[in-house]
Amino acid sequence: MELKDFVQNFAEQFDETDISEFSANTAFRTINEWSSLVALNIIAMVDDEYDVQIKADDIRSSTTIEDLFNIVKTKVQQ
Amino acid sequence: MKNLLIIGARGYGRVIYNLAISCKRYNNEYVIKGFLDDKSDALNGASAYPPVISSVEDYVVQQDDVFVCALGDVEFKKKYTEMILLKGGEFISLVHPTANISTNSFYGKGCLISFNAFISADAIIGDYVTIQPFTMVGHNSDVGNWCHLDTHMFLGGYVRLEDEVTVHTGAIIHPHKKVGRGATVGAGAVVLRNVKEYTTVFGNPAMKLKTE
Repeated sequence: MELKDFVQNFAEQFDETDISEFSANTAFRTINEWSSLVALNIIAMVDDEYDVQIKADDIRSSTTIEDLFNIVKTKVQQ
Repeated sequence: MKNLLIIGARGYGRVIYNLAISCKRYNNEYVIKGFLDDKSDALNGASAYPPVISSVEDYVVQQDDVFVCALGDVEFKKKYTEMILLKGGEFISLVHPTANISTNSFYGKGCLISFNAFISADAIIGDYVTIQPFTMVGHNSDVGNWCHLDTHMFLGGYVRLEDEVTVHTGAIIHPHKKVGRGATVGAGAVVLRNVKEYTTVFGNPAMKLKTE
C-alpha cells in the first residue's frame, strides 16, 4: 500500500476541505471539518479499501495521516 | 388523444397502470391501449386490466402511441426502453397528483413519479427515472438518467446520483454525497460516504459488499 494513495483516500472523506490541504504530515484533528462522523468514515474507508479493521483508539493515538497509515500498514502485513 | 402502452404486465406493470389512471392527463391527453410483455398470459386472465398486446420485440410503433416502461430493474428498464426508442417511440412521464414537485425542480421524459413522492426545491431529475411512493428527494439534488428510487428512501440536500443508480427501500443518503454510476444502495443503508461506481453498499454506516 502506498502512502500517497492513503492520503488521497483519507482526504476523500471530507466534503468541504480542499484536497490540496492534505499531506502525510497533516495533523488531521486540527482540520476544522474534523468530527466524530468523519472519524467513523475513516474507519469505514480503511475497512473498504484495505480490508482491515481499525479502532477509535488507533485514530486517537495518531497525530498525522502518516501515523495512521503506519498502523494500517502493520495490520495489513499481519 | 394519445394511446399509452405500458411495458411490462407483471406486478409492477399493474402498479403503473394504476398510476396512469390516477393522473389528470388520463382521458384528457391519453387513453391506455394495453401492455407490452413477451408473456402473453401475464395478466392470468384478470379482466380488470387492458390487454397484453404484444411483446416489446414484435410491437410496431403506431402514430399517436406513447410509452412508459414499468420494469423495476434498471438494466431491463434501459434495455426495453431503448428497444422502443430505436423504433421511434416516444416516452411520457407520469406524475401522481399527490406527488409534490417543489419550485424550480425539473424531471425529464419517461419518469414515473408515484403517490406522495416529495421532490424538494431546485432538484433536477433526469430521464427514465422511477420514483416510488413516499420517497424524499432533497433540495438541489441531481438524479441521473435511469435511476430507480424505492419507497421511503431519502436523499439529503445536494446529493448527486449518477446514471443507472438503484436506491432500495428505506435507504438514507446524507447531504452532499455522490453515488457513482450503476451503483446499488441496499435497503435501509445509511450512506455517509461517497459510493463508487458499480459497487453495492449496505448497512449502517453503508459499507461496500465484497465480492470475493
